[in-house]
Amino acid sequence: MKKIDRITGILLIVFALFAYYGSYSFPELGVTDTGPAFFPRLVAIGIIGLSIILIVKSFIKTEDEKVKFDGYKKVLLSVGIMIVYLIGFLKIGFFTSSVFSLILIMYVMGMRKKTTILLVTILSTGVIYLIFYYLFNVPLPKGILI
Amino acid sequence: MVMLEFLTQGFLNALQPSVLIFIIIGVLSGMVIGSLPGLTATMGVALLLPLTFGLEAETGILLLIGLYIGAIFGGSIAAILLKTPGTPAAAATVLDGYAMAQRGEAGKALGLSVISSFVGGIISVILLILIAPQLAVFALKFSSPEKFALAIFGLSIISSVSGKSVVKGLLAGLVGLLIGSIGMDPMTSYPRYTFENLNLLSGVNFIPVMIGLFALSEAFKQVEESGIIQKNIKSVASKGLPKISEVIRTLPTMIRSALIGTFIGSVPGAGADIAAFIAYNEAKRFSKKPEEFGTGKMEGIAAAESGNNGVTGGAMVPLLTLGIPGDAVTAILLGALIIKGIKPGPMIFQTNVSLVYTIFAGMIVANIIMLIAGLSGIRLFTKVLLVPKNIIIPLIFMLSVIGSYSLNNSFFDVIVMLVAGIIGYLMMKFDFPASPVVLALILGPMAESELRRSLIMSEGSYSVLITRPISATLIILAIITMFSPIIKNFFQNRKKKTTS
Repeated sequence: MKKIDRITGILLIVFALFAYYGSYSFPELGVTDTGPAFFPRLVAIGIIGLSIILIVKSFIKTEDEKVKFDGYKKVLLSVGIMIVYLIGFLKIGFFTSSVFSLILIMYVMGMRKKTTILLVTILSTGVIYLIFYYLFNVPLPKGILI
Repeated sequence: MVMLEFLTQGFLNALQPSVLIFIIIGVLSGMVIGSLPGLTATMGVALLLPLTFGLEAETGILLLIGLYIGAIFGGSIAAILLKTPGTPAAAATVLDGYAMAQRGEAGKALGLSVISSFVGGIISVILLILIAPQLAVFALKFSSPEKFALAIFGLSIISSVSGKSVVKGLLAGLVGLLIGSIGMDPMTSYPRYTFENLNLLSGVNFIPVMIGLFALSEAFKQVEESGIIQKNIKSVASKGLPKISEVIRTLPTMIRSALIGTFIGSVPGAGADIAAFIAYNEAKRFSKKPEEFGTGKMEGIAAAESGNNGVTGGAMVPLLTLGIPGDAVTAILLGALIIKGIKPGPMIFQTNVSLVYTIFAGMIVANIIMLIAGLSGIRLFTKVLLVPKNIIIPLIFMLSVIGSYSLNNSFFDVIVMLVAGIIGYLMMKFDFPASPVVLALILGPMAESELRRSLIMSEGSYSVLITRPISATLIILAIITMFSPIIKNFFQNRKKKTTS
């Protein structure tokens, strides 16, 4: 956790510096208004200050707890599936992309019963599609398929 | 007695079949969602929010409130049967609930949990009905400096909801504030940090952010833990419900815990999980036999469950009267109202009286539905725990996508949701709390615009913030709330060092 605290601290400082730098392009304004740059700058300074505290604390702390990342492969896989899902959502259509992504995620989570997987994905996606499309009139993206 | 008239009208509205059916759907799905460990009340409300877009304002909001009430009770089912709280709010219920279940009194424990949740919920709604209109009249006098102070007070709560590390909680809040400043500046409309992206002109929408932070991130976590074998549920062998004499005996505990829960709920920031523990500790303190707590004592369940459901009414107080969300769930409710073009705050008691009283009445109805469903169908709800996680969790992925898309039919929102989900997962791993981000995202723009409006009012003098009594009081309160956990930590650490 110490190492992670240091890395997040540094990343947050970089992030805040960018925000502070970005505020230079904002127009400066009259006497009474603080202007658009005041608030973001204040926040950026706060982030830098607290990040320094976070980093310093990580050096003072004696005990350290380990962050477990046992199932990280599964998480990375599911993030990947989500990205492909979103592209498919636009290009192929909601129904088809949802069915395929759900099957994949269920498989990643260790579900192996083929009939259950097929039944659950097709039924749930179908019901959701009908509810949103016909009941709420949300035009879900249609790509090549539905 | 104008209030009674409004309330009668509210009941007539809430009991219309077209409204009632959605309250029932809300409560029942809340009970299901709450009973599944890993699915929280916040997640349920975030995922069901899109369903309210097609509904009338009162129907939609009551669907979500019903879900909230049902889920806070539902958490106790897994707490009693699995020793795993279904929602964080039920963590205190585990202590005595599981012990009772092991004695073969699971049925009795569940029954008592339903009754306590009902008592807690009803008392908190009654208090809400009594307090909220008065507070709204008072808040009507608020002008920009007071509203700024109020937003700052809301933000100061971040330090007490930060969990393990106050520094990390504050950092999460500040990042939320920075994200909140994306988009057109509230006074001059100058586009800040938009990178010429039109989608960012009106700012980052906080609903996709919430769906990502509270639903998708949790789904990623469940995927990570999916290899772990689930515990088997203890069968609810004993059919027995609690006897009437036992309910009467625990009633004082329920009422006291309901009051505690309502109070804690109405303080912005503190939620049902904290309320349950405080109510539990108070019950222990008041008890003649405190040593029996934790061994399956009925008062333990009564305190925890009445306390956490007491929060439901309390949390609506700041939302309706001041327009500031008390916790993550009410933040989504705020979003749901804004989508409908209704801005919560003191004015709502004048412009939308009928809506407010329909919400009040609907909350009472929701609690009654929960009681009936809980007492008659508890065995059915325990079956939910048998559904494997690797069937339920994948559905959350789909619901997150469709939920964030249907908000504005915008694909950009879906991308925001995915990014928030990934960041939220990492935050969970690295002990950064998620709720400060959301509080900051909502209260930040409010604080900034009211501050600048105050300065225009006072022609640039900051003294306007401290010369007005209400805003000065709120700012002092904010400073105390902000620093008390830090000071407490400091002294605890020193104590530890001197003793060791």
